[in-house]
Amino acid sequence: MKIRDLINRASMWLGDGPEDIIVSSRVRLARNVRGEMFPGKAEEADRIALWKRLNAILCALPGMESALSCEMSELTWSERHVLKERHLISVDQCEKGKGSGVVISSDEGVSVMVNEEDHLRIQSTFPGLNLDEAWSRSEAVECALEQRLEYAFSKKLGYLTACPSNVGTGLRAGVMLHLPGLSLLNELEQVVKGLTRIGFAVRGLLGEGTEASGNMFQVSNQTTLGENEQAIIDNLSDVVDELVEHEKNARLRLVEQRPFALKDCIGRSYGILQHARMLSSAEMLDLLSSLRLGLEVGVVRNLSAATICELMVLTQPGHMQIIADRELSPEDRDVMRADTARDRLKKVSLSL
Amino acid sequence: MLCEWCGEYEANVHITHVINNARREVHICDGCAGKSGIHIQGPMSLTEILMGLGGPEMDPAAEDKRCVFCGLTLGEFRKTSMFGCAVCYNTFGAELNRVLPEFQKGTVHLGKAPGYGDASDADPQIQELKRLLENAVSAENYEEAARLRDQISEKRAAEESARKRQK
Repeated sequence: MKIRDLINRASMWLGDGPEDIIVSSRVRLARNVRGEMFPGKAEEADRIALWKRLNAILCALPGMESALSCEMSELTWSERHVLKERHLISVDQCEKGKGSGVVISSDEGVSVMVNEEDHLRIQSTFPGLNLDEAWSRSEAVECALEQRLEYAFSKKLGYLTACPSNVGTGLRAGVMLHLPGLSLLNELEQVVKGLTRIGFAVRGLLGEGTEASGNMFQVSNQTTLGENEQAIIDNLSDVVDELVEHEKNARLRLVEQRPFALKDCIGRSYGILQHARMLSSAEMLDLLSSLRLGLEVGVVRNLSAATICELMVLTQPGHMQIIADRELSPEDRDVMRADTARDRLKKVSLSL
Repeated sequence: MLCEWCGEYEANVHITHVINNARREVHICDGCAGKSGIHIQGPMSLTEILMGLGGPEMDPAAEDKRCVFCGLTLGEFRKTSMFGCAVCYNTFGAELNRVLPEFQKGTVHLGKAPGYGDASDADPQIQELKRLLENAVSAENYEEAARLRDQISEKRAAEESARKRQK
């Protein structure tokens, strides 16, 4: 499989459309190989040797026969950004070079980063609320690897990770939510503060250190030690259920109490998407968020949620450069983004 | 006052935290605060917590405490929040234990463990028995394998009841 094969399909991380509020679910397990220095401290030669060893093991695992495997130094700027935009690698891994890499199952259901912050970051992502499946898929890879290598593990502290904020289960479970209702009512800040207080992290679209674009938020567990995997996943599920209720309630209040504010936001976004000649990546995500909201409250016609998901993926910088098959300046990208939006959305209509 | 971390800019973020009744103050600039994820009024970040490691009058020699396996010093760990290897968890175990409850729910692992998913399998004796069992199976020495299998179950049962008694 090649990176080019990925770009024309929906990204697990950005969802596939049918779900309203919950976009996708992800589980990530951090593991290290016993007796090896962590990637941040290891010499380049050792990292390269370990990448070769782990890559060979990973590619031979059941279900990984036609996996996509690449060392970061082999990839072009566009290729690594495609992987980042699809959340198959992290922002940090995108910047790495020799001795770091990723192995991705052909259905993109599971990807394993090698030599990121830890030797192994096994992650599985599914559209909608699907934490259990994401957990069993990543755990299956983790168990299969365990037959072939020994993890750094302590009976008291569990799986040992480079940063002690991941020690124990090494498990980070996250759900990405689309929360335009709470955002329009300016209630997000309060919600985020509340979540942080009860031990959950809230991040933007691409994970740690990224801005929230398009009203997309990832909610994940903050702690990894002191409770088991199922408890971590169950707690997150409960919180997500509550958030979904809050968002539904916010949308209801918008429809009933502030219909013009709601319709104005959707109408303006529609107008810009139909007529703009240049759109930045962040602006595009915000506009698509409003359109998606419009679709879900029933004022946008002739549009499928899948088209919105597709546009979100296709108009990211890495994807556009691969499609154009050349290097694009930021201005070229803004033009191409606006062209793509006008083309895909030309049949859309509003009933405000 | 200049930033304690970069020494370049004026320190305008002042953090005081108390760990085990010991006060420690940190004075840093906006830039360093932002880079390490410190947000004023937000919950304490890991870096902030680790800056408090060792208390206010930390012996300068403690900063130089070094991991025998990878060479990481406690000072470096406090700056980056990253260990260099698994052995660091032993080297800096005492220091880590003091701050763990501030950013983790507990101090003991309750999740899965290598082996059959039972924490007792982390017991070195059981690990050794399992290795012997694998050897016996691959050598088709099934009598020996059966004996080892029973021994493993016995050990697991003993550990389990010991754990229950503790509770």
